[in-house]
Amino acid sequence: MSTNKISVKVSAIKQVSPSIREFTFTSINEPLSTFSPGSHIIVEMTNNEKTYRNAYSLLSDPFDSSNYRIAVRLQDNSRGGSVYMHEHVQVGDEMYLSPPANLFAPQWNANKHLLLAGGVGITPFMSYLPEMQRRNCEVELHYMFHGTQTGAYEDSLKTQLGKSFFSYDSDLNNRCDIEKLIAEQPLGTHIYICGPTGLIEAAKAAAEKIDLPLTMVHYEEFSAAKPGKSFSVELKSSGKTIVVGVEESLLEALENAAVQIPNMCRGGVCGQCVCSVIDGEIEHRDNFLSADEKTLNTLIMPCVSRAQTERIILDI
Amino acid sequence: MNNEREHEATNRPFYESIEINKHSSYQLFIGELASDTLNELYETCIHYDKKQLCIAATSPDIDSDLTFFLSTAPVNTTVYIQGSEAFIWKLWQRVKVLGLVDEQIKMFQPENKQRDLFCVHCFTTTHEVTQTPALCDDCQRLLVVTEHFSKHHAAYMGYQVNAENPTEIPDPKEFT
Repeated sequence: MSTNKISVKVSAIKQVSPSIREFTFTSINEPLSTFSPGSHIIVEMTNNEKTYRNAYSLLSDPFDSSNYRIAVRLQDNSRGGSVYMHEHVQVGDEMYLSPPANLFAPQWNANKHLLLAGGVGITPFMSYLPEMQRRNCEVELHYMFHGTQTGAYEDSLKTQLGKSFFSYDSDLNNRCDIEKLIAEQPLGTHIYICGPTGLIEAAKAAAEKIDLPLTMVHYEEFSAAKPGKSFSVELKSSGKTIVVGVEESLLEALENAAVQIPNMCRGGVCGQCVCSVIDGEIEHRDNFLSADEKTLNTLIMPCVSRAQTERIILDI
Repeated sequence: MNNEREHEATNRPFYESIEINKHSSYQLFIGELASDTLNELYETCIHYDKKQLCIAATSPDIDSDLTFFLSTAPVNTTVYIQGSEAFIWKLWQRVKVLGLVDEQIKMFQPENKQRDLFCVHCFTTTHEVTQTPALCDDCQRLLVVTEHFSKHHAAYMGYQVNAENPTEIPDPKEFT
């Protein structure tokens, strides 16, 4: 983590849907800060002498500094981060978090906020809603999920939002017509999406189809690094070679070898951790570099991207 | 010369040629005065039931017209504005407040070379200035009309000509 870590205690764990667990963190030393709606924190997890760091959206009221809450979905294709949170973390454990950072803040000048959540993507909107309600914003939440897996907080959101809440359980064959929904919005509506890539792409395509500028469509695209083949990385400055394990991201491997790289989202969108590549083929998995930059093969986002070759050399 | 141009500060708005957003559900055309080019563009829009032409010169209150037309407009509205530079940027401010983003506001090349002039000394705007230096309507200072355009004021910034010796007045220059 680039900034000072916050030491916290896990004060509660709640199963909020069949595959989602909610974790409440309270501070051990200093009081927690308030944060802006849409903020995320990075949770540090140490398992088998390796440290993983994943970003999770804060879902509590941004004005409430008594604790931080996150929700973690057990991922099928995970490097162990979500598995670790689900299977190892207990109430009373001490953990480290980064201070909140925000890459998904609301556009406060919008006439209306249309929120589209997919599954565990509901979390950033849970920090939007209290502040939007305090500001008397016009807001509508459309929540899509698989009832047998996700769909956490459906009842409380329904109570909180009343007629502005719409839910779609695809396991009950209830689906949202994204195209129609976006087309029937009034002037000045900004659209926010947090969920799987398919949902983001569907909303973007719906906007483009009706000449709606993409500056009115906002989405949180980052997701934790996925595993891949092991490879080694040589650092030009020191000549040191570091092995990146199957379950580890390149950024984590560098950090575990005491090489500090500035970073914020750890999910391939913010661009903070960019490194220059001297040699080796890159498997780009980020949403930050342009297609041209990716083809040039001279830059890598170590938070999510990996090597295609067995060895790469970085200019760090 | 090319290098000089590259390094020239771009403090004036740039106006692109106007293209219709074909898939917008509502097209609103606003002109300061009636004009053939605006009319022609209006006529090319095939969705006759989803467009509106609005001429400020013949409207008693253009602001309330805009509020009326845009209060029930759909999310994918496009507004086209034609007139003097001061007019189009005042309208730009109005429609932004009503919820449009920059990409939904299309502005024609200004109709004339006149500029509104914002006096940085007394904060008054003098209208329809044609040359520099120009006199501030309010504080009567003679102002150099700069190339720095303020979208917020819909005017060019003007400051005292030869502040240390205001009796030395440069030759007037018409705007090009």
